Amino acid sequence: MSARSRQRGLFATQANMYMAALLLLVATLLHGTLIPMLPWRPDVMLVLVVTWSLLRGLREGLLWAFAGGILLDLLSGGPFGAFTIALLAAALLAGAVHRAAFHVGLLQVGVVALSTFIYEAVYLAALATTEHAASWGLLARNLGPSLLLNILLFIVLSRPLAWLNRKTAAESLEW
Amino acid sequence: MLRFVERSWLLVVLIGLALAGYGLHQAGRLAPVQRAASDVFAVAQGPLTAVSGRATGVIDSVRRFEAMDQENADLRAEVARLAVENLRLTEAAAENVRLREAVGFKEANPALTILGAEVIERGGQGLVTGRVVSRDPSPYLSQLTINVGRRDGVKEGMPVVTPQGLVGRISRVGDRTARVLLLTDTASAVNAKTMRGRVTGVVEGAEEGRLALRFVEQGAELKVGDIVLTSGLGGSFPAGQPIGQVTAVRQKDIDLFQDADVRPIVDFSRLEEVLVITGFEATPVETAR
Repeated sequence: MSARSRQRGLFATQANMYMAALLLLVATLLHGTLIPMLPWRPDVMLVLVVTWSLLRGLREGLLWAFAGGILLDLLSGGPFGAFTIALLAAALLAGAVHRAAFHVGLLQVGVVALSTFIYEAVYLAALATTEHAASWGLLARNLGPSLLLNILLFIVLSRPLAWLNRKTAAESLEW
Repeated sequence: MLRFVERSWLLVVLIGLALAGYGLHQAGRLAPVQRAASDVFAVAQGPLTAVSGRATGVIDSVRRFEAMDQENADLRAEVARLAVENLRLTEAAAENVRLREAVGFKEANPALTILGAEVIERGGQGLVTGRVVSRDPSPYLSQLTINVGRRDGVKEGMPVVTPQGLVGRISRVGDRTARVLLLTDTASAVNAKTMRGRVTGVVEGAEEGRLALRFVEQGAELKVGDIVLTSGLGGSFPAGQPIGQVTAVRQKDIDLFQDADVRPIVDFSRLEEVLVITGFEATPVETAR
């Protein structure tokens, strides 16, 4: 590998890392400010993680899920690790479906829907291991709107994220 | 050279004419010429002065308009400032009322040691904005963060109240902040009794910001409208703090206990100031002999 290509690869890696940090921080801030005020809550962090997992594969998806989950757990008064585990589970599914050529199709939309269900269920299960009662009734009521919002968010976010993927695709994420 | 001589000659003539006019004016010989000239010029000066006056008026109007615009902007700024000031004063008046109530609460409960605190963050289902910095990202938790912590003497488990009633308890303490587990959180459980029938039970947080009174004995008289207070049993909360009002009773003969839905007295969505009880005399637990 030439010095120039190595330098370009290093730049792409750094850009990738900064971009990930920025997107995850923005998503965390949204979850701590705007989103709780909405009547129905889209899972921005989940959609980010799932979309990136579909774009880049399991390894980067898991890294994003871990970082995003830690940020949400730091912000939350719930059991630490609940968000991280839930996001990791969702990334695991999405990363397994990763294809080289990304497009918004039925499979991808299905992955977002299934990931939403897994994310909510794993989070509630993690919550139930503590003194908090698992609000399965609330989950049942919220799941429909959450699915719809997350799918819409996925359709909106997939294009700019695909563009970012192309711009930072020279190297994979190294932390 | 010739051109220079010609120009010099012209210059000398003009200077000479000027000096002659000055001399004639000084001698008073130019006065009739000056009057005649004034009359002639007056014919043209009248309309010109009027036009000039109008032009000046327009310019003055423009200047006044600019000044008015500036004045208008200043007045708008003043109105905005006064509106903010009005809001601040209204807020201060409301705060004054709340703090007076808090003082009244302290006077009514001399045995309690209380510490004032301000809500800076809250979370949970169905809560609205106050002075909010951040909310809990989980829709399944009912918690808030206040701006007093370990350095203010706050410890885990301390009760949190408002003059209206019980809010919850401190669940996590930082140096400068503390997290409050609200009554409505599903992890919350408080020993309670009804004001009228002294019926005891446990008030637990339920879904979507509701409360449930559980473990009430089958034979106990529980009615819609009963006021629920803290019983003080267990020593976690001072006795007699209002919790809510019974809105529905669920009683089945096959069950061991009867339950009830309780509407909280405190409006958790509008919490801004709370009181952390840092010391109180716990109700002694009665033991069977």
